[in-house]
Amino acid sequence: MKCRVKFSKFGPVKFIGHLDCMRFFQKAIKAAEIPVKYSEGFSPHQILSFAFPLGVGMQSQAEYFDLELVSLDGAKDYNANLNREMCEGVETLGFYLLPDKAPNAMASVAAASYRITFRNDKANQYLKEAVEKFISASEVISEKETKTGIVKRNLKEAVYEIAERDGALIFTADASSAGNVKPSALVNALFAPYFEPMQLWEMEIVRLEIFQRNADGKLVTLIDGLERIS
Amino acid sequence: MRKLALSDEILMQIDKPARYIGGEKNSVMKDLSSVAVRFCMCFPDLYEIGMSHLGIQILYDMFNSFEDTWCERVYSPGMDLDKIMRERKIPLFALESQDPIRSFDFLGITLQYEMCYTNILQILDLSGIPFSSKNRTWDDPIVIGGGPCSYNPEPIADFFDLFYIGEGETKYRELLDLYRKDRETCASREEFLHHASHIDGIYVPSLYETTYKENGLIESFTPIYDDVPKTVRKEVVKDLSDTYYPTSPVIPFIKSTQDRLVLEIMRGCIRGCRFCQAGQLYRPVRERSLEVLKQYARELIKNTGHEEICLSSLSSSDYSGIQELLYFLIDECKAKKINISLPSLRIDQFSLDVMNKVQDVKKSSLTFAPEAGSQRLRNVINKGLTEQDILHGSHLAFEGGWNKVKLYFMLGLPTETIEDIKGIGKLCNEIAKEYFETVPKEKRNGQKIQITASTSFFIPKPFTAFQWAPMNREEEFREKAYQTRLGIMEQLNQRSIKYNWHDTDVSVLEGVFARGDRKIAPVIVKAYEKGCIFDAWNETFKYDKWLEAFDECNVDIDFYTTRVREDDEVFPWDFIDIGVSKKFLLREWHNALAEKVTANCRDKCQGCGAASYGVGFYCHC
Repeated sequence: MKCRVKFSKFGPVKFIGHLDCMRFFQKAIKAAEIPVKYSEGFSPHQILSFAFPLGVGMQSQAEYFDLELVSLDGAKDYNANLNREMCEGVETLGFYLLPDKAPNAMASVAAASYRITFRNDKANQYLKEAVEKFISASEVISEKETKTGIVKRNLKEAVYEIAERDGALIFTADASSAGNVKPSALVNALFAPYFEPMQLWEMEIVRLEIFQRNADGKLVTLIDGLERIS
Repeated sequence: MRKLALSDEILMQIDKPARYIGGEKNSVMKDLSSVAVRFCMCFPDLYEIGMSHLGIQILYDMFNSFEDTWCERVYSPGMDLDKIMRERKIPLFALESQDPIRSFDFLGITLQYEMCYTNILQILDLSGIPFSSKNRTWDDPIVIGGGPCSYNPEPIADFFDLFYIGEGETKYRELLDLYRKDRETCASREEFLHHASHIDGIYVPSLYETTYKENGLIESFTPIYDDVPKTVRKEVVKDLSDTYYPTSPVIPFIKSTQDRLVLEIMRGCIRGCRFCQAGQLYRPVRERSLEVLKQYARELIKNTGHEEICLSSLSSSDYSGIQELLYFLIDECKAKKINISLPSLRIDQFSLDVMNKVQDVKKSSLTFAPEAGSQRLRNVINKGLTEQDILHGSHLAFEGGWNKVKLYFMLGLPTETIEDIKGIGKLCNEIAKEYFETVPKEKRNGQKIQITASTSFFIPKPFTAFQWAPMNREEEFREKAYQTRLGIMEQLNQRSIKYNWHDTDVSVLEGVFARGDRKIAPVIVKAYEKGCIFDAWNETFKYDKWLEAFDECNVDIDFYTTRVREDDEVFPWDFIDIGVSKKFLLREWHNALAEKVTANCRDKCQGCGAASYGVGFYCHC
């Protein structure tokens, strides 16, 4: 049986990269004695997959991973047990039962929302204006360098919601494996008319939610409709 | 949430920012208002190296078990951050509180290898602590050194206020109590250091004076006050089953070099190899009880979630309960999906059985450390391993399906001749022959025998029988490595043998530091000023700068390395008493030259002197 686990990541641990974060959870799951299923073979590993890697420097209030379990004995304590093995800044927010036929977390990801504040005076000065300009523009082209050359893309088609709120940029954009919009790419496209691209450290990025599309094509969270078991 | 010492701007532009943020699971936070002593433990190398070291974990656990003490950690910032900290004058900070090191009461630096000496200066420099003990005030922490290199502390004596000689578990409480009392009564820093010299195992370098003869040898080494002890005796833990052990060690976020649980099963070694410093320093042999080890293993697994466990000791095969312990671990770990990383066990039926049980079908390699190519030279170094042992062990392993053998040798051992060097190739060839005779062609499944021979250069170390031995010159080392290669290429099975050797430059410096005296300290400072740092790392090691530093300080390298030492020479480290007597070591030196083997502790007590601690597992005489 499979379950989906939600967690948040705030504070200094934002400097822990995705792979290290995964290793951290592998150890924690083992220490918490969650009955996780191991792969067959000579070097068995936990059957664990993360929905959407979080970049170094980013914080998040909604991260997810899928876990295959061998049993649900004592399931109601899993969340508390796993939380006891966390470190400062990482908190597990619930275990959700996943139907056997459900696609894995990573394949489900369709969009993600973010909140970004800036350590850059110009950005703070022009944010409101830049967002309005983005909303009213018919197209906003972002250029991305890839192995096969520069790929142009109209961000208007990939950004589903965008607003300025209390000095922060809040947006929801495509996060599917084929069309993911990097928060920094959107920011730099937004401010392109005003000033040079910013450094990553000038943006304080918090991921707010990760979404999938339901049968009606609507964006819903990765745990939408799932039964919370812990 | 803790506030970090480094800004996001810096953390986002350096390699592995996780090295500098602390906050790992099981790291200890305390309320400053309830803490009287702040101790910062330092391993002067990168975080992922330092985090693998068991000694610091033990002391971290011990200090933090003291209610009045908060122990934190610091490691050498990498070259990228080092540069930024200097440019922007950011003081070095401890991982837990992120507070500047200079505001601590103690800075404890572990000295695990000689090539970290310039990194000690980096740590002091970035912290804003004067290099020399005599220039420090109460605004600076007490800088205390410990670990294997503190058994000849003289080359770095000037940089330290105190050295702790021996195992840290025993005397730190007494030292901290003295510190608290002296600070409460407003004693001067000098007074505190003087008082500290009365604690067993504590060496206060500033309270001793060295005079030299015209030829550069030590004439006298004497305390400057009558009440300061003339010798400092090593501290040892009396009962390993009843002491501190970190069963909830700090778990690094990034992969450390030893990403596994460590179970220390014993200290000391019965073997008495004459080149080996650890084998003498950690005498007498003491074992941790099986029951305690089983308990620790269970707790460690529970508290960390690590996926691998390993045993730590100088010679795990000699632990009296090794079979029961390993079979216990195999059972315990199988159920919990934990790997057992086997220590280098002597190759016999038992160890092969164990390896079969814990390793997958892709059989890993067998390791032998004959250290010398001929039986004659193995007798000189008192390495009990014979060619027959190696061939028999290999035979058993080949039958069991192994086909990779690693062999470790040293070049430059005392009395070495070309015959001994040629012996390396011959021994490798015999092993290959054994394979072809043991495994018929149809059973090889297209596999080949792979033998890897590695040589390192022998460096004489204090407190060994070879402390009197001259070290080889660089040219000799290179010639010997060349002859080893030729010797291997002459063999019939040479295509099955791969040969690796280490660089010579670092060995020369290590040789100087190992047996150096107080005249070396200015050279280390000079080299550091010229940009030498991270000398243990190939990519940052600058041999030419070191040679310049020696030259400018008028210090002759050969005096420390290749010079022949008389039996009655006074060594810089003679004032340290490790239990093993100089008389015994000298007898062993003469036995070596006479190619005479000495029995191990288990077979027959040799009266080395370590029995005086009254706790040796085999010291029954």
